[in-house]
Amino acid sequence: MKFDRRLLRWTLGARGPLAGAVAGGLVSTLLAVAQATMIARILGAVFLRGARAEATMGDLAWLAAATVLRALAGASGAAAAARAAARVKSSAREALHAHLVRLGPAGLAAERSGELATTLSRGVEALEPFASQFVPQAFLAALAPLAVLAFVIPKDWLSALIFALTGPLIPVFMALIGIAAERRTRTQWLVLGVMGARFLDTLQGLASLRLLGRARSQAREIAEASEEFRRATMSVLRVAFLSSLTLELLAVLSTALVAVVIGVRLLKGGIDFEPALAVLILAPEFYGPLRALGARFHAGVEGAVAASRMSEILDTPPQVRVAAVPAVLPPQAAPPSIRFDDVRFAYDGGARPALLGASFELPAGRITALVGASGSGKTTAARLLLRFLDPTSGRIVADGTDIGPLDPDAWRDRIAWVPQRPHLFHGTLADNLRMARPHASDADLRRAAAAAGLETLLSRLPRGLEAPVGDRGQRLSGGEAQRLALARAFLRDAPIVILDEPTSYLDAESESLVRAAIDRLAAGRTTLLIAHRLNTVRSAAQVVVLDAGRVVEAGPPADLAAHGDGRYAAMLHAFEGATA
Amino acid sequence: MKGRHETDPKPEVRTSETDGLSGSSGSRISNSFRASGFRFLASSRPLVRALALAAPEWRWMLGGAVLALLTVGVGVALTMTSAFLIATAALRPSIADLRIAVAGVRFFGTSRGVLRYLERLVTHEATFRILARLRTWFCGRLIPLAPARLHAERSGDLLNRVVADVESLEHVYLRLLAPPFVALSAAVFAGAFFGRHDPRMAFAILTGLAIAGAAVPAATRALGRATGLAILGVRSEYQALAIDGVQGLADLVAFGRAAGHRARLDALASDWARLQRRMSTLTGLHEALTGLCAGATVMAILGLGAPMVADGRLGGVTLAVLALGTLAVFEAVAPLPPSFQFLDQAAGAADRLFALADRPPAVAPLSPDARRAAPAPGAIEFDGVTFSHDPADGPVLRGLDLRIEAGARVAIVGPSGAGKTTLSHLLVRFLDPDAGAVRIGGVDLRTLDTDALVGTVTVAPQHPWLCNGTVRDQMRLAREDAGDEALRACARAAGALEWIESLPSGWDTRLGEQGLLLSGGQRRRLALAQALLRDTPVYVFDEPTADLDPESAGRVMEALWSLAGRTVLVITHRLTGLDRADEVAVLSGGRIVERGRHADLLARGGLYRTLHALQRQAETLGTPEA
Repeated sequence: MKFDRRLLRWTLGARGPLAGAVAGGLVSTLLAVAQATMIARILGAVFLRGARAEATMGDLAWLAAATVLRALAGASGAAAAARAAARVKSSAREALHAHLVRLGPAGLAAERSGELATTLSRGVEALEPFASQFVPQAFLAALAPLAVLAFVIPKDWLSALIFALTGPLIPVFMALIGIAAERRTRTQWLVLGVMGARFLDTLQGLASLRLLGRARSQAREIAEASEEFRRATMSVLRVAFLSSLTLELLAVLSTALVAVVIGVRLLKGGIDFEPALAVLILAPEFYGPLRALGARFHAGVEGAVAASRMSEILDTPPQVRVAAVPAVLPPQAAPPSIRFDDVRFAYDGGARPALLGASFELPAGRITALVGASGSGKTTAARLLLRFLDPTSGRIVADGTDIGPLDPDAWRDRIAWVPQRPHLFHGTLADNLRMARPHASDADLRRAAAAAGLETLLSRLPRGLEAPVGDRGQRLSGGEAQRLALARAFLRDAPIVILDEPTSYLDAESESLVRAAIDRLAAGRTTLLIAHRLNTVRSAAQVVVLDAGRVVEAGPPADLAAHGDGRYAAMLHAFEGATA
Repeated sequence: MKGRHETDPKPEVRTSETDGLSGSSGSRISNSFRASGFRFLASSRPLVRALALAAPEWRWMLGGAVLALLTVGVGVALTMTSAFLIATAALRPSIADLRIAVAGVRFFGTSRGVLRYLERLVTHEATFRILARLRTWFCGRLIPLAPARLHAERSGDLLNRVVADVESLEHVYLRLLAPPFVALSAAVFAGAFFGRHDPRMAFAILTGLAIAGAAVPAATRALGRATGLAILGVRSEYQALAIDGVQGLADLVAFGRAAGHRARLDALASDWARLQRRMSTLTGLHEALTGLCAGATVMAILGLGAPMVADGRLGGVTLAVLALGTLAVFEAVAPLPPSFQFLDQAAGAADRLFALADRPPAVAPLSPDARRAAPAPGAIEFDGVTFSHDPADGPVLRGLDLRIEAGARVAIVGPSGAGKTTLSHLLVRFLDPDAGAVRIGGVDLRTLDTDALVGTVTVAPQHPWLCNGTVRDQMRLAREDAGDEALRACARAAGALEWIESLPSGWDTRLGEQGLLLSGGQRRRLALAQALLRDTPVYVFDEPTADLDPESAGRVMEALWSLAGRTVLVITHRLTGLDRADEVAVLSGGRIVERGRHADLLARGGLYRTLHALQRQAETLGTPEA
């Protein structure tokens, strides 16, 4: 188990409550010693010396006090451990939240997004048993047996010797056999998880399987696969559980050995009854913490694994440089003209070039359509303008101001972004619209929705603007989602519009609604349009044709179309041919 | 229907439930149960049903529970024998008197570990067996519900929950049945053993066990319930917010809302941690109280026993044995608190699962004398078909009439939401018409079931599902014995051959978790290839060209129309490649409003022409990823 430096830092951050948890456990052990002593004294007095019941009352009172105090110590230790866990988890979550925002959307590889969401919820939860159980137990396993030993040595050095010799064997055995067995067991649990995924997969495919006439046989396969898994797992477990059997035998037989040795020496008068009984009662207190550490080892491993996954995420460098003192954006009402000035950008720290010195201009208040095959750099250009990314070299200039040194949020205030498909946030339709302008009134929302052609959706939903959408709410069709994105842009009412046209094929009616809304939105704004539609391109003021990160053509669409051997003309030609 | 009876334990469970509250006064008793706070009994019916599903594994369950009891018993015996050994030794008898005690200590010490080992094995065996049973049973119950009764708005959510719920029910036995059994039996033995010496001691230990095993967990559960519910609420809200934060990060950053979202996440996370802290504190308090109970019981035994020893009514050795035995017996109640905490979760899981499994299928079951065989190929007739998914939304189809001759190639077009997919579902009896009839070759489909129908009709669904296997596995779902040549031929026709063979492992490439590694276009083509492999007289393709670029779409349509000697029905909103159809039917407002050949419909200037013109305007320029 390798400790991640961040995990160490978060754990150290909770050292106060952790110390409390360890102290609670330790005090509890000391009180157990007191309990054992009192029980032994009472029994010894009654049994060997034939004391009257009244004579034991004092010891009984002490026993009562020790018992109550032990409960208190245990409870406060547990409370402190809970505090520690809460603190460690909050540190981890806050670090992840902050980094997520710093990374920005372009820093997050798409395939990792699911993993990140899982890490935020379940990964961080794995730190709970780590902080509340494993860490305190690791200290207790070192300290509590020593405390017991310190008590036993003066009472009976031979028992102490047995403790001292057998005790360390437990962690050693754990390390030797337990960890290897644990690894195998964990692999098997992973397989169990796969089985669960497969079950889900089958449930999701039931309709398709019925269409193929295979639903019943697939259900039988689930049964067979489960059976097979059971057999495989049980054969692993038969071996894996042997390791805990060994540990258990070690602890129990050591206790038994202590009992027998003490018994024999009592017989020969080598030890008195009371210390002998106290030592016997304490034997589980000696081995207990060591075995508990074994049981919690799993929590430790899991915490460390989860933390290293978090570290991977936290080590990803952010994509956008934020100046310590950002330049101030000049106030501005009119839409700016924007220039890409020999802009280069490569992903993965230079390994994957996307733009190789692109220069072009977005005329103020007009539509510029970016066209080109996928991978030609259209999306990268839009991301750079949004400052999801910063250029490796070159500049983007708005009305003479380089946007690089600006505060990214202040710059983005000027932009309305229309993604292909907006993310639907868990909340109401109104919440999702207000993303663009938090203080917009309901009337504003309705106006924007109308401008985006969303009225039909509003009238379809019984609760209108207050209808829940997102993960657990209403699903929107592709066309509706696009119009929602457009409605946000209308609400935003920004001088710059960045619009990623939908590539999916909507039905013709949705298509024409979206089309009309785009025209209304772009009017009088500096618009960068990642274009897939012939119509939009034709109505753009300017077309920029990108190929492999370079601008190969730029100009008004009519001019480019007339230019017979140009790239744009070739695209037009191909399109006409395909649909003729 | 034989298979269904085998897997359906409902009738038996019903009787056992009525037995529990039997007689004419049954309802009064159950009311008074509820009134007197035994709400658990009233709400536990689904749990009882879940247990009934696990019942066939009773041998394993009983074996595990008995082994658990023996483990605790041997632990107690070990402690008691040790105490006996030391107390006796203190009296300085001859070594021979100790021999049995020494042997006992060794024996109990060894067997405890072995018993524990066996117990773990048997318990795991039982749990896996129960899990397999639950999965198979629920899968069997959900089959007739798919898709009409499952694919509601949040089906992803729903099925995820089914999987999670089945996994929590798997522990029903381990956590709900075995621990109370062990604790109760241990209490009975302890009571009997202590009672032989002194009834007051029996009373003391039973009281101590009852408080530690039942009262304390019940109290902490009651105290923690509100917090537990709050944790569930906060957790699910946090998860939703976290997913939003990750998947919607671009939207958040673009609109300058990222910092606000982060603050909300931080706030929720600290709420969550605070609630969990409260819960853990409660758990810790509860452990401390259990320790207190054990200590108090030992004190009671000592307090009761000391005068008896003084009076000579109880042996001194016996008191030592009883006092130490008391501490050990409390191990039997240690697993009870988690099982109390698990109760709500299990009851909730069982509740949800059975509510789903008990949904009535969308189509009426067949009468026993119904035909089993696939219908003979012939004309497909929709005869005055009216259908509504939800009466509140009004009918999707309103008296639709459509006759498709055997061997005809027909396209059904119309805007989304016009009921096109409903037509395909009617053809395989995922749904039955509310009025009117659907026939194939003159046979009313209500006399057939889906299994029989899919032998005649292949529906390539709008949202193809990919199995969790290889490309070849996926194809062979359509025909198990298909040879590689047949696979290749179908893949070629669907335009999938080239990329399949260009994959790193070709036909043996795994499709990954739900095949998410494929693009929409690849998925579509694979699903089409799979459908072609089925080789049935009737084919229905639902949106076969969605996700395809214009050129591929044209080629795919070409391949579909070329299926020789079959009835081919293409349902689409995309008016590409329809000139090859024998006939195009335009669906609007729940009826067929226009029929004819592509060219004739265009010339006629109706709805078809309007749709065509709109789409023409909207066709794409670039090439979307295929």
